[in-house]
Amino acid sequence: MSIASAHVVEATLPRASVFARRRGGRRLWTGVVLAGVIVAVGFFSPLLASDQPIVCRHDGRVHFPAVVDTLQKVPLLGRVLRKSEPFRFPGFDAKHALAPDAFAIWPVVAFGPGEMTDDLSAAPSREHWLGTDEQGRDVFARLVHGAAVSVRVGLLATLLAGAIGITVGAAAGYTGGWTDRVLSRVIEVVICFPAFFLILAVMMWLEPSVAGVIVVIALTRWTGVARFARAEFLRLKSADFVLAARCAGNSPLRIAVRHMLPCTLAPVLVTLTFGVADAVMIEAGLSWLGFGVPPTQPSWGHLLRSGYDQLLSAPHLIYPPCIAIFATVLACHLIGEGWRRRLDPKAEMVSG
Amino acid sequence: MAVCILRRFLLCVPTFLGITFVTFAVIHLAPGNPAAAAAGAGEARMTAGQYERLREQYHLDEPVHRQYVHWLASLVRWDLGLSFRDGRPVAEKIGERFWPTLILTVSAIAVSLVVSIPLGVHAARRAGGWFDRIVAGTSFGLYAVPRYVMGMLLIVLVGVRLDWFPFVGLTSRNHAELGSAAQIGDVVWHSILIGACFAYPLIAYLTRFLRDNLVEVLSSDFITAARARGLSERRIAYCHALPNAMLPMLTLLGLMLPSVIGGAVILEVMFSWPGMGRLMFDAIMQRDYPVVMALTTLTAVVVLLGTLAVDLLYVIADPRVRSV
Repeated sequence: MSIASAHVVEATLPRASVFARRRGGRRLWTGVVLAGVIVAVGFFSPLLASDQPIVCRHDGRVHFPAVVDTLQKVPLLGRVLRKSEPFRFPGFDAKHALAPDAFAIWPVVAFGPGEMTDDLSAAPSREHWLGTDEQGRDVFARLVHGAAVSVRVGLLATLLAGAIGITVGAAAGYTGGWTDRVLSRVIEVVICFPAFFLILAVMMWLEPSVAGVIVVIALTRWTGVARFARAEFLRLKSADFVLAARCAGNSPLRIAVRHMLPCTLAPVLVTLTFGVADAVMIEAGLSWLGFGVPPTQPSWGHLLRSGYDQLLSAPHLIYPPCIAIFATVLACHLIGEGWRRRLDPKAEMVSG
Repeated sequence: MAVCILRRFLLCVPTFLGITFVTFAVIHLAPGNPAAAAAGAGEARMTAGQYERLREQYHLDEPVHRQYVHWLASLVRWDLGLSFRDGRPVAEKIGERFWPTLILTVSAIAVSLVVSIPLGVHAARRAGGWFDRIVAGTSFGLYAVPRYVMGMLLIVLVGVRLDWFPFVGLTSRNHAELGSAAQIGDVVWHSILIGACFAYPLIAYLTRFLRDNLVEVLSSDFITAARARGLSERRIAYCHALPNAMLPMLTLLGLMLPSVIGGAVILEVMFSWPGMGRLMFDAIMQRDYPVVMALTTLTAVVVLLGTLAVDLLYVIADPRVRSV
């Protein structure tokens, strides 16, 4: 190696790769922080905006209605925990029932997502930070509670889609032969359908529900992961460590799950982070069309729709859901892209 | 090469059958399928005559697998049945809605190629420079904006506030009175905003993709050889590196086709654009099963043909694929 070329290598390669790694890392962590904020807002939404207080003294007892609302989102706790007596009833109006001088700590915004006030389509004010929609519901409260729905749909739909995709892809790639041929056709068939057309055809006869949205999104969005998993399993099938595992007498299922799956997991998870963004977008889009989350539940798609329906009279309704959806998608893309660069040494070198 | 193309064609047959099967299953095995709807549970709007026609059309008195075969046979003969709503042939209804969507899709792809190629090439030639960084950041951010979000923002900011472009429908109210040149101009004028919503994610993604590919290609040996021969940088970039980087882009376009067409539903409803997506939405609102089935199948077949075209182009463009 001549001095000149050594100098060039020294000047470009190491610095470029270190720089790129740092850049990829910055994207990744920006995304993680942004996503963390959105998830936290979604999870703690009853503490941020609710028509019931966080802590209060009522009839001589201390109640924690909004705290219980939050804790009920934890899967198992939801069945065990119940709100204390008067706050549990659907018609209970805490704002008027509580004595005015009673001790109570209210959420930052003292409006629930479904609570209707007399200000219809009001512009942002001190009372309603982001204004109200056409039914007088507080936009901030709906935005915050909509985050919970979006996060849930995004994560669960992607988890389900990932499970289907990995199973199908692994079966196709590892088994090979006719199984592979048939499964590959199945994957291609599902890819051919524009997701929205197929989803809408299913939503036509499905009652709007969050679970329905999750399942339908998962059933149409698993193909990317499946193709990826198939290619990875096909590649790994002839690897030495798989041969070693086979010689050691492991069953094919055990080899696939315990030996090959861990090797493919990181890149598959990268694909899935982009899937979360897709699921959030599809949910809001479906809700915008009126086929997604039921109208009683808050969703960013519903918010966007009420802005669209009052385009001329209340355009301020449009911006909050737009920003929320964009931030969520951006967070997922940042994580996915940063992570992908971290995993892929080649991308690290070439990308600036 | 002929064998390769023929094999690719034959592979489409099972996929096509799969597409029809999925559509049929989704609509017929569902609760509230056409038969149940026809039986009148909650669908009092259907008359006896309509039910009779429906039974005839779908052979509802026969077992499900026979129904499928009948439907498939009529589909292949391009007999898509009659709409429940107005009794018009579905093929005719789709025919008049097909062009607005196709025009949008094709022009969006064309515009995105025209814009993203110079951007990508320029960014790749000065990788790491300020232009590259601006392009990378902008396209990354733009790609994270869902199309319907962009649509809403364009409607509010450009359509309502600035009042630059119309955002409702395909034509103006006085369209019929205009001359033929002005009529075309009118349609183009109306398609600017919705067309932008179709094009910008493609531009963003293709630019990024092309740039990354080009950077890789530009570091390969044959580029160094071209430089050694004294070719200009511009010539190297466009004539030597670009064709190699364009190949993966073709595949990418094929992969993006479903999402481009699928995104048409929301955007066309949003902009009152009389295309297939809007027709799909209306048909679903009206429980118009023949239209829904035909549209779902047709869009999937269009995507299938699109990917087929991409694969064939690939075979023509890349000699290495032919021998496989």
